[in-house]
Amino acid sequence: VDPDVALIAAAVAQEQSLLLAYDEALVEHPELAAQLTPLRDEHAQHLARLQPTVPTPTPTPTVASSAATTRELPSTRRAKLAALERNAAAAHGTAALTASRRLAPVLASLSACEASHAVVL
Amino acid sequence: VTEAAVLADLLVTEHAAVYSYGVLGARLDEATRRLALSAFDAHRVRRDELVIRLRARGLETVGPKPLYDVTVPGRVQALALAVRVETELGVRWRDLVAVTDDLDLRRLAVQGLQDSAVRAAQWRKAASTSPVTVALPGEA
Repeated sequence: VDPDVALIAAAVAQEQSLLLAYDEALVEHPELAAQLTPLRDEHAQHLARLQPTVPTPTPTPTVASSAATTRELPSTRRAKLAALERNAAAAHGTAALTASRRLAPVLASLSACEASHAVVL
Repeated sequence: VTEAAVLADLLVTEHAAVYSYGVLGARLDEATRRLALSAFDAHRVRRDELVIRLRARGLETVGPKPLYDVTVPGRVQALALAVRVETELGVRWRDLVAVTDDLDLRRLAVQGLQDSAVRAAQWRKAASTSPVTVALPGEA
């Protein structure tokens, strides 16, 4: 079995959950769109880089899951996104240590991007 | 491209980073000068880490070469040079990830790529450049 397959699947799941977190944040805080949309779109690019043949999901501004939850302060939401980015950066950084020479640089780039997101959020 | 060649390129690029930060700091304001100082220190550490690994492999350690035009008349040019320094390093660190299976080198390279992406973003932010981040740092 190609060990890259499991690493790619894990990375795809991580990117999808980040996209979801950004989409929820954008629904709840449209005023953060200028800051969050470019970051969100970079995760869509990550997904495309990981699975070039599968179309990336488009933004889902009608997501209602967060409507029932307590509205968070924009600063709290940004801090939560930053924590998710740090987790993703660590996970992709670790995966890059054992991946093939073909996949490792992709995961390392994802990790670096997410580390930079965490800092600018 | 061999591991040895990428390590040699990296050493030249880290030398150039140390030199560039030494020069460009003089053109910055208080807050960004602090960032340049910490970058200067971090790149000296990285340069020394590379020297250790080159020597451990019995490879030649190259000295500094002029890589960038460090003529920076003002803050704008200084920030642009800092972005360029970190962007170039990102490419080299990513190259290292792609040519080695050595766990220690992989770890160093992933960390190097992360650090360069973080600093490039901080410099773009300081320069009010948009977008502040890139999706795939180091990918040419």
